[in-house]
Amino acid sequence: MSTVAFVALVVILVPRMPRWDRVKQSFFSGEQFADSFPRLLDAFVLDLKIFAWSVPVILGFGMLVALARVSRNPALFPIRALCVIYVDLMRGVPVLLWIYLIGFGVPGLGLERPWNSPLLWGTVALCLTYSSYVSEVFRSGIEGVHESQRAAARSLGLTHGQALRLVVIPQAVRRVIPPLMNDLVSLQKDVALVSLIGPIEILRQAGIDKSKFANFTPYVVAAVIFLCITVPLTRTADWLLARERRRTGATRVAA
Amino acid sequence: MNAHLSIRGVHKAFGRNEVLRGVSLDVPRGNVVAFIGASGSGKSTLLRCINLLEPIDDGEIVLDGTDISAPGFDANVARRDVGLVFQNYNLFPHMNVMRNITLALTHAAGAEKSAAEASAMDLLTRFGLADKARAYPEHLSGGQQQRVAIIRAVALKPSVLLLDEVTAALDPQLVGEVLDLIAELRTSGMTMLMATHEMSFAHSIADTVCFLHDGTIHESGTPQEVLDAPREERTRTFLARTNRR
Ligand SMILES: Nc1ncnc2c1ncn2[C@@H]1O[C@H](COP(=O)(O)OP(=O)(O)OP(=O)(O)O)[C@@H](O)[C@H]1O
Ligand SMILES: [Mg+2]
Repeated sequence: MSTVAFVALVVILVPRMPRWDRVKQSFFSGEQFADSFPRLLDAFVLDLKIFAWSVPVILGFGMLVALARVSRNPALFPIRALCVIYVDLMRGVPVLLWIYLIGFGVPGLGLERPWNSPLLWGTVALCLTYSSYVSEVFRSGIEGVHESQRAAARSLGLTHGQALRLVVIPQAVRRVIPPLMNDLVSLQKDVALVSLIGPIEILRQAGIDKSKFANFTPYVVAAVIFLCITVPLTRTADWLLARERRRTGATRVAA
Repeated sequence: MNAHLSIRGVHKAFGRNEVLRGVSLDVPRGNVVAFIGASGSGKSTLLRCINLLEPIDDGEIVLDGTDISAPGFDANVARRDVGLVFQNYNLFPHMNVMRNITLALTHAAGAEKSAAEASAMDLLTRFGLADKARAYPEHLSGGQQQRVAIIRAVALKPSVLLLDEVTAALDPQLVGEVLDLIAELRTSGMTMLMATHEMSFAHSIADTVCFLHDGTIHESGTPQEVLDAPREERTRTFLARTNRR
């Protein structure tokens, strides 16, 4: 009810603002919208491609780092230490900065084509940062699986590796799907940051359109396109989280 | 020495805490041994050591004449021969009953999936759980979960079964079904070592009762000897305290 009232107020009041006509013209021009939409949608394909390439890399690498960090083998100590440093470094600096540093820095070394593409290294930077976030999510999931599960698996004669692969990891992954989805929603948006070092994806195309037509509507178009992807993703993540809460809540009562 | 399982001078410490200080015991084939003792006396630790879940500091665990605790021995192979069932069942919650039972059969014992499922189904049928084969652990009662956990261990055809207070987490009305299963396993000739607080059950099923105290087997003998007419003062105090509860 209050939502309806609020929306009604906005709809009635905003057009009465003194500059509304100008804003309407430069942000919500229907003509400009129709003109930019196909071009931006085309450019958005690159975002989707970067996203699609990054996700498996991030999940795989994130899991490897998580496994290294929870390992107890004394021989793996150097790798554990390396992983801690890596995660701290990646998490301690904004994604954008890593994209600049790696995306401009590595091609600046004078590598041959195609190894000098900012698109490539921007994506690498994105993967490295997000892998560190995801590794922490996986690590908390693995540590959340009770020690007795591992003991049960080992007592049946399964090897350490089998116990991890068949018993611990599947339970850990199930637990962390909701936070994982949240990271993927952020990733979907942060893909656009790669545009800041060159590649013409949706955000950059919107910038080009804006300058060409002296109109901000392309940005609104880009926002709408993003929302079409991120809102369903977010809703799914929330739904999974609620389901997980209900499930674990239920078992706690039963136990 | 023709004991099925020999525990010889087993020592185990956690840091400064010396839990086992020389436990020795010979178990003939098909015998049932009940370990009793106060909380913290090392019953669980001893069973976990026999299953090699915990490395022992000193001593030997000899199964059918082989020292399975020897450094070179493949612990994963030994563990298949020595089943362990836990107080809290520890079923795998993300797998249904069938997969809980067949997992180690197919992945550790190298059985074909179909053969593993057939033998699991046989066991489930024998113990009245055939209709639960596709159910997930969270949908089973505690008694059913613990029976599945025992079947999961038995499916590997271990030569010794270790039971760690398998009824302690159960509601009283669910204890019976689990004890019946254990009694049935005894009839089939399974060698079993169990930690228990169920004195009357120990009395009726065990061939030998061992009272653990101070890191050693303080007193052992038939149930009649140890439970009805204990010779040691400590045993008497312990039993008096348990019976009053
Ligand atoms: N993994 C471990 N790390 C450190 N100490 C341990 C560990 N497991 C057991 N202990 C210690 O060993 C001692 C014996 O524990 P254990 O669980 O074997 O006793 P218990 O006889 O099974 O007791 P309960 O009847 O309560 O099950 C206790 O003092 C316990 O704190
Ligand atoms: Mg115990």
